[in-house]
Amino acid sequence: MSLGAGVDKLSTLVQLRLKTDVRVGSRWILLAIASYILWILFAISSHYSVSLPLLTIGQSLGLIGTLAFAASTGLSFLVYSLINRQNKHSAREQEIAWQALREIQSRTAPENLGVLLPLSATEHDFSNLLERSHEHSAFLWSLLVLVPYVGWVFLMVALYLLTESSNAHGRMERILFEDLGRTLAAEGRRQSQPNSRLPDLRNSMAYLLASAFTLGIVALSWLYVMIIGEAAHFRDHSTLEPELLRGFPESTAGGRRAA
Amino acid sequence: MVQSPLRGAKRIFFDRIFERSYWTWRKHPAIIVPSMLGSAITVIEQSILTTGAIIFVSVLATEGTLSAFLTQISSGGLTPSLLLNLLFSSSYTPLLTPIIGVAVVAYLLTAILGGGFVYSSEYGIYLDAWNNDKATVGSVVRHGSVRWRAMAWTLFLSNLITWAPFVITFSVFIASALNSASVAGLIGLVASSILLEFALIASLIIAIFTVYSYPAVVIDNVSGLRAIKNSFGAASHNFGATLSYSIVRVLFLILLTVVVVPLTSAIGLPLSSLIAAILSLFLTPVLHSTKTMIYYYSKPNVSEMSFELSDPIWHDISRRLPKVAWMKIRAGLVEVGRFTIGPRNLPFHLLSFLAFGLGVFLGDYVSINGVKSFLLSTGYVSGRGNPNVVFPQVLPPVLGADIFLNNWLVSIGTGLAGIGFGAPSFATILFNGFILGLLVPLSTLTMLLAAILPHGVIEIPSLILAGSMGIKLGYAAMRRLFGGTIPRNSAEETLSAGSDDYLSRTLRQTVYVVVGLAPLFLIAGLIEADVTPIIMRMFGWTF
Repeated sequence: MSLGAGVDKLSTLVQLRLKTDVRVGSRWILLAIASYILWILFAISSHYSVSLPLLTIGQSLGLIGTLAFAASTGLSFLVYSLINRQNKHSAREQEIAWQALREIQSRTAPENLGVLLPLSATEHDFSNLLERSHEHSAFLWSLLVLVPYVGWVFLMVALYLLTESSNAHGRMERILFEDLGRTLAAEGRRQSQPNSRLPDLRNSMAYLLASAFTLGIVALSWLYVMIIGEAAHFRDHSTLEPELLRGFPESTAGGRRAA
Repeated sequence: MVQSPLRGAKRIFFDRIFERSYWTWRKHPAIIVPSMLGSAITVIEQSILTTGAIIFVSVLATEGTLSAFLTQISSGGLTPSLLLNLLFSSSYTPLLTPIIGVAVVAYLLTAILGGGFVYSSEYGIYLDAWNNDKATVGSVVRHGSVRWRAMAWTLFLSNLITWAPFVITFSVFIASALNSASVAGLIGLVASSILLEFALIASLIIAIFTVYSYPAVVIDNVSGLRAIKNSFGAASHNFGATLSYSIVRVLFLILLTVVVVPLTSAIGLPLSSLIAAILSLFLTPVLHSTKTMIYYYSKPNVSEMSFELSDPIWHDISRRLPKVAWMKIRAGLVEVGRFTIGPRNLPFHLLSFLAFGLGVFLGDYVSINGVKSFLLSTGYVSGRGNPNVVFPQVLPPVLGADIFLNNWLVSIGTGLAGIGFGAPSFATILFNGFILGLLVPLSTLTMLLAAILPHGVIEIPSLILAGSMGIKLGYAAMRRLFGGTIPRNSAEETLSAGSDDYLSRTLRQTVYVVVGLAPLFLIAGLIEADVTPIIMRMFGWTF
């Protein structure tokens, strides 16, 4: 691949942020709450044989169950969106890092140890990032969440995995971008360091236990925390990536457009 | 292509493959054809059973013993043991043995050989669509013709290995249940029921590992045990993706059939036909394509699937897909018109009509010679709905839509089942005529017409047309088969290629015709649900 083509690809990947880093609407949380309430209502109605006015018990259960399932599809969509966007964000970022490393590698002379040493450290960070990044199946977890009642347990597990991935991603990404910045600085390209603030780490085990003890109620607020957290992370990237792109002056307007 | 060491071990991304499978399905609608053929195989299997049943009751009617047979069945409550005792009593065994023997052999041959053709065309077309960005109806025929033997053998072996533990233990369980009167028999029953659970789990675990047997036939060009071995290898090396696939597939099925259908049925929204359509036309091709490509990407010489972005599937399903479907239906309607008036198709129309007429005649005969007297003996009153059948309360437009989807799926199966040399389409039309014929002697002609004509005037010709298309497809398949094995570079090669092309064109035409019949069945379904009952009451029917 020629130098220009690689940088163009980098530019394109940064621009794709507008498609991958889309904030999940927090209003979906209302459907998650509705699903929770309606399935409880279904259980009570079924256990005590209570029917809604003008309806038989069968029709009543059918109506509540159908509404509960419809609301669950909203919850399922929320889980799908959260996992899917994290996957896409993570995959795009890996591609950006990969392209950036290849670019630096291709323009660095073999005797330029001043650049090769930080580059080697960055490559090591990149390998670590790949190793610790696990893509969870958004389709699988969104379907598991749809299963009545048992789906709450799957919701907690999905949120636990998502939180763990998000924590690992935040940590590894920060180290990678710092080292990438150092490598570019060693090349003599002006590169500001990423925000020195450590990303907020969430205690996934505490959330999991709290959710289990409250029969899933805390999981609903956990969902909200994840939506907000993901949005904040995407916001950080809106400054981080164009900043990185400035280290590749061949990348013309790409960075500015993405910014 | 080789994976860069920096990027680590190759990974298989289930979601990326699933998403791309969806877009492949959208871009190449021809990949639905093998799934439709799969439904057609089910219709062929059903037609074998129904033909056997029609022959059985017709012979009993001729002998004048049908009414007694029906009374015997209904008097003792329809328990499986009573039915078995009755069927294998000396009065019926001489008649039943050849019918059951032929039906079982035909059923198994259809399932294995038909499955071989369908699966080899199915997995072959997925590979074409992914790797060559090209999938045509012609390639369905080509893949089916090339690898059907290898696939049939793999299908047989794979199912044998997967389900043998369960089937053997189930047989032991049934044998124990029949001998559970003694203490030893009871202990045997308990032991076999525990064993049955373990056997079921064992079969399900084996099913996860044999999941790639069919794609292996197409991708690796192997068959039988080798394909199963490759499948075991791929599944164990990529257990995460394989398990994700298996769970997603099972969950789709369970959620749709066990959760959605009962819940919605309780409030008068029968969705079973809609779900059958979704499963057959959308989920099966997308999931099978996903499975094929998981196996493809598990190959050491294939590099990791690259990062690519596509539009969200949900947006496409809700916004663009209905428009595309309508365009296909419009194209199908045009094809329906062409096929109906095409003079060369007249023999097929006549044959299909003959099948229907023969069915009505046989049904009428059987009804007069047994069924009618039996029903009257149970208290049936002419002109009344069956008091023993409780119809669920269903919202009228939804009932119409459900009837439409059910009839449309039957017509899809009827049309495409014709690939079994036309006989299954003929048998399905005959069976539908037979059912109608059974009703003829049960009421006056005016009342019968009031119950059938309002919707039947559209529904019956549409079904006969689907049968006619199926018979034409059968004719094309026969031309392909009896074209013989033509040596390469001979003058006859053109003839063979021509037959192949004719089969492809006819298969394509069949798909368009059955798709184009959808609006006709929709109109008929809405009339049947909302108008026919009113007209029936006007002509003296009571419910």
